[in-house]
Amino acid sequence: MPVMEPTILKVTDGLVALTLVDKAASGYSPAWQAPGGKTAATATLADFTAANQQWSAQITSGKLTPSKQSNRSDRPATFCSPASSSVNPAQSTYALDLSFFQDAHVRDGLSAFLFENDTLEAYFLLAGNAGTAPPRAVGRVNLVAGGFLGEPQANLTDSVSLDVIRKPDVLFGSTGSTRLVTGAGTATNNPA
Amino acid sequence: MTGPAPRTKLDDTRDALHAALVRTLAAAGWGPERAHRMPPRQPVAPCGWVDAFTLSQGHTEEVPMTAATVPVVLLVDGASPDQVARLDVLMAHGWVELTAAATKPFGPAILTAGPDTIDLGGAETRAVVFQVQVPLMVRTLCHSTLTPSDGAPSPDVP
Repeated sequence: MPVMEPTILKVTDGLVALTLVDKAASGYSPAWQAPGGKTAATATLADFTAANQQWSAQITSGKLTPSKQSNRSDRPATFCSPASSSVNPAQSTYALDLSFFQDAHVRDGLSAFLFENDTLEAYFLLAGNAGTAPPRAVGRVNLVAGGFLGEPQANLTDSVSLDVIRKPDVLFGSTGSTRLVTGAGTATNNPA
Repeated sequence: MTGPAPRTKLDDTRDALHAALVRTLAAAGWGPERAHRMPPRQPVAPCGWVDAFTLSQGHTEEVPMTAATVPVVLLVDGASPDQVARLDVLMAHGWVELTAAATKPFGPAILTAGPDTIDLGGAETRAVVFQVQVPLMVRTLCHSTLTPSDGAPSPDVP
């Protein structure tokens, strides 16, 4: 059997963008995963840059974290059969987990954005390749405020876990060979 | 013939520490010409210099980083009671000035500061040496390098 090398993914030039959901936007639908109803394949950085709300150098970790929601039904043992357990599947929930350097000294920084828009709904773009190439994900989160200041003489960091409102869209693959899996459940190879 | 080498983050760090060295020597009453940006070939006490860097990987606030550690040397003539008497001034002001050195984006940390002797081929010397650590890069979503040739962060993506 030939020796196979593992396929390794390493984020070297990633990006997180957030922009508030504008429910007054033309044609708005609650099903939109990105501004203008775009998908992980079609959303552009320009859709998120109206207020310069994208961050890269501040972010030390950006991860879409799923949580399984399935549970098990246990059946006790009887005189003629052992105990057993079966799984009741349920769709996973997601969180956009961000770790970052605090930037409360920047007027339009991430700390200010999160604090100002606490509880509001926002579209997110999480990209592993400069925001323009796959893999990338878009979806909607509820914003929460981050921490403010901390220890003296330290490089202040913080982290937030933003609840993703519904299953996000993810564009897998690499440029020229992609697969878009939407939160609605459709999968499309090389979407336009 | 080649042109000047492109500046690196080590150049910027050296400049900031050199500026702190100038202020430290000034506190002891000595002029900026006694502060050397690079190790001098033939040190003449009193003087100070920023020595060669050692790079290492570690963590700052749990974030992986690349840091430079560099000795900053302050040298006096051990045969001069007047110069030796200023070692405490050099130590105190060196600590303050080097801690406040304007390295970017992260400030320096002094790992150790203590007495040392520098071999100048027979001359009696006394010195205080600061081991200064400066984080140069932290691992973020933005690709970063020590050199300006590639990976410079986009100015519009903070």
